[in-house]
Amino acid sequence: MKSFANRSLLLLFLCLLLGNRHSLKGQTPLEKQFHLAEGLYNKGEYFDAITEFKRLIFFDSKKEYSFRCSYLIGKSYKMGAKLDDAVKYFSLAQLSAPSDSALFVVKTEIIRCNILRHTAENALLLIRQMEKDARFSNRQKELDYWKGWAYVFMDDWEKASGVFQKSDSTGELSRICLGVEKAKYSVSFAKVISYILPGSGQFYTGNYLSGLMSLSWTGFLAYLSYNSFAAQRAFDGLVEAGLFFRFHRGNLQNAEKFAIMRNSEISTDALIYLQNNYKGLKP
Amino acid sequence: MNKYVLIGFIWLVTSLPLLAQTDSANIFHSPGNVLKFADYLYCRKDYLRAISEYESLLQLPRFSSDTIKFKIALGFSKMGNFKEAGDRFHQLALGSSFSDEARLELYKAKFFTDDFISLRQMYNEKSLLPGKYIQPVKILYYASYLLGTAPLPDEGEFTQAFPPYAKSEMEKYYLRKLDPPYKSPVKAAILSAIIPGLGKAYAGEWGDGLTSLIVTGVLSYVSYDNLRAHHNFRGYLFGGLAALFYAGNVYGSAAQAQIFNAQVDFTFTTDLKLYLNNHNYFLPEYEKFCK
Repeated sequence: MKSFANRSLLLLFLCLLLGNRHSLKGQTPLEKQFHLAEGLYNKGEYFDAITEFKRLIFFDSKKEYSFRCSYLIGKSYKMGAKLDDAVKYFSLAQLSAPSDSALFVVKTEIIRCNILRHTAENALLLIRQMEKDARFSNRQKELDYWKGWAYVFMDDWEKASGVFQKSDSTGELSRICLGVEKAKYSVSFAKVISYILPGSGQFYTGNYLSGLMSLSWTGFLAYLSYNSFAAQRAFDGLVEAGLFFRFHRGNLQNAEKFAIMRNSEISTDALIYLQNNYKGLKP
Repeated sequence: MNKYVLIGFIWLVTSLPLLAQTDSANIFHSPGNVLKFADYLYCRKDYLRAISEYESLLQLPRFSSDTIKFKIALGFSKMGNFKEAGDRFHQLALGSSFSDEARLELYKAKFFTDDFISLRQMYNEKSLLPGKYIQPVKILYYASYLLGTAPLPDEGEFTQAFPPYAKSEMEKYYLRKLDPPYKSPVKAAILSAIIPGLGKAYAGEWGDGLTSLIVTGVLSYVSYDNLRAHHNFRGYLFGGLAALFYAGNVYGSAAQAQIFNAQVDFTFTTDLKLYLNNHNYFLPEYEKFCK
């Protein structure tokens, strides 16, 4: 009777142990470590999250967590604006991507980092490579979307607007880009009008004092030169004409500089606006 | 008997999952694993994280060792935080198993933070001189004279500090430091005051010098010619412009000489640092932690 009771207890114990098997197995050290690191990442403690993910990679001899850890390390570095390190870890994640869709996500992260670190040419190159890849043939719209952002960061708002027309269903980005393009000053126009009437390029870009100075100096020297030639003092006239051309050239350079400066201000304002007000996906 | 079996059974059933969880939570954070992970980070040049891991081990007497303390200090040094590295090495300089290395690193920290006065003072007072690394410290001591502003030591004394293959090159740097090809700003200004543009040519800007001469000459001539022909407005206008160019040229020549001197200093420092860097500052490769 006693031995029967003992055997029953042993059997019950084994049953309970087997019942607990799932919970024991679910708490493997690697998984526990992953949850710890993921928790830190979710709390925004990126430095510690990276440390814990790296610890997991170091002890994960079978590389079961390689993709997830590398990807989240990349994301953490990106959040800390360490874009070179982010690209490095996204590249590592690429090597162990479990599916095509995971690979697509990682590749777009690399593209987004390239856009943010102002190597948008690299981003475009990667997009072109992905466009040729049959695995991503149904993701063209998403690729176009990031292509648009690459053009934004390359300061080519016109192209960006065109690309966003195809990829952004709301049309908001396309409208913003078109608005920026329209607001920008034409550098060639500023130079041409300053060539015809010194200072007018500066007026066009809103730099009235500088425009007035250019007009006054070139006008004064032109008058002096004309006056000298009229008084048959050719040498004086030539010297003054030389000075006139020097000032005229300066006026052209000035007009060009102001137009470029204004355009840069418009682009920067637009980027700040996008960063603060655009609710959709951003690099 | 059954009672004890039952108690044991209940204890086992309730505590097993708990035990498993506790183990899995700490297994990678056990001191042994932390050390392995810290070494891995250190060799991957992730010094900041390696330091953080090593620091956590210093709390445990069994794991707190001079090697870990030295690696922490070296990590700071490799990250360019020489101030913190210096403080850490200072703590290891007396009575640790890395005493000599720490002393050398302390001198290095002084050298790389341009604290040459303190470095030379320590050396002259024979303070914390590393027995095993006297020669590298001597090299840092003499090299500091080339990068600092203190008067240079005797040439023979200077060159003998360096290894034979570097003696002649270091002698060249010594002579360059002793007699740098500076241009005098006063001389440049005076030359330009006598002949416009000459000071610029003296300071190495021949093109600017010639332009200054032509522009000042032409404007002066035009001014003179207009005044002679009673075109007073033009005469004074060009006279004013000529005076402006003349004064600007005198000032510009002095400024050019100063720029030239700054370039001499910059080129000297860059060349010297490049040479020393190519030879690892003649310092020994004693670190074998990552081999």
